Amino acid sequence: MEWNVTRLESDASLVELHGRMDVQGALKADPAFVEIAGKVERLIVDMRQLDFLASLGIRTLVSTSKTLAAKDGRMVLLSPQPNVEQVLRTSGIDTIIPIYHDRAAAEAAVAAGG
Amino acid sequence: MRRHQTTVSGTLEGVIAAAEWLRETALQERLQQDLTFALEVCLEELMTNIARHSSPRDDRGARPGHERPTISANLRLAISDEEIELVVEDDGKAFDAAAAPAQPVNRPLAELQAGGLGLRFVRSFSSDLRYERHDDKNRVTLHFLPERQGPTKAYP
Repeated sequence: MEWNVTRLESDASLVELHGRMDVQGALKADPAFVEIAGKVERLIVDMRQLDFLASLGIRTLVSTSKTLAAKDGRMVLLSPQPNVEQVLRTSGIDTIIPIYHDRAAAEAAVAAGG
Repeated sequence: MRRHQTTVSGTLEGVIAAAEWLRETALQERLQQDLTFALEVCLEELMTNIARHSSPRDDRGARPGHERPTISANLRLAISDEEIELVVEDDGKAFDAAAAPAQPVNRPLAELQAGGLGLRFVRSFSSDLRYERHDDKNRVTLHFLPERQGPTKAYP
């Protein structure tokens, strides 16, 4: 499980996930997400290269989203693979962390006041 | 019918070991990718529940200088041309995974507890879920179709 963090021109941050957010992946990524959530207010999580997501990974995403929401920030998910998207929608996470399949729409969604 | 089994601890290390066992078995059996994904999602959720919520049946071991009994989980995978059966059996206190309500997520984010959402996965990714209490053990049995179709719905 690897990730890259990029600051966008819109001042939002983009986290690109690579690999599997299984138990080990979630344990590895969770501290990083805690740190990221502490530093940013608008976050896009790019899931195009994320091959697996389950319970513990969901937990990390929810925690991050709650941290951002507490300071009026926003977080969205970008382009999850089909199986990963099924996990997200089955869990109902998409009702609280929106999913976008278009980068521009995702950026617009996390824009200030959006 | 081809059968595989292993026993792991009801701890975080056991969750990891269970996942590794399943991945190796799925590779060995050359299971379809979508089916493997479904098995992994379900197993991680069941094992995570055991590690997070279960407790040993015998609490009397929790004395200074004495180690608390560790929960043990036995995993069994049976594969045939007709279906795949995954059984997760732990010796913790009684916990009916099939009856436990999935935590609703359509409420304000601030009220949502991170975690505890995964039984939705299990019900969604398997074709059948059954729970029974047998010989002082929790036994969850899941069935999967061998040719699981991945998501066909095109989400907007």
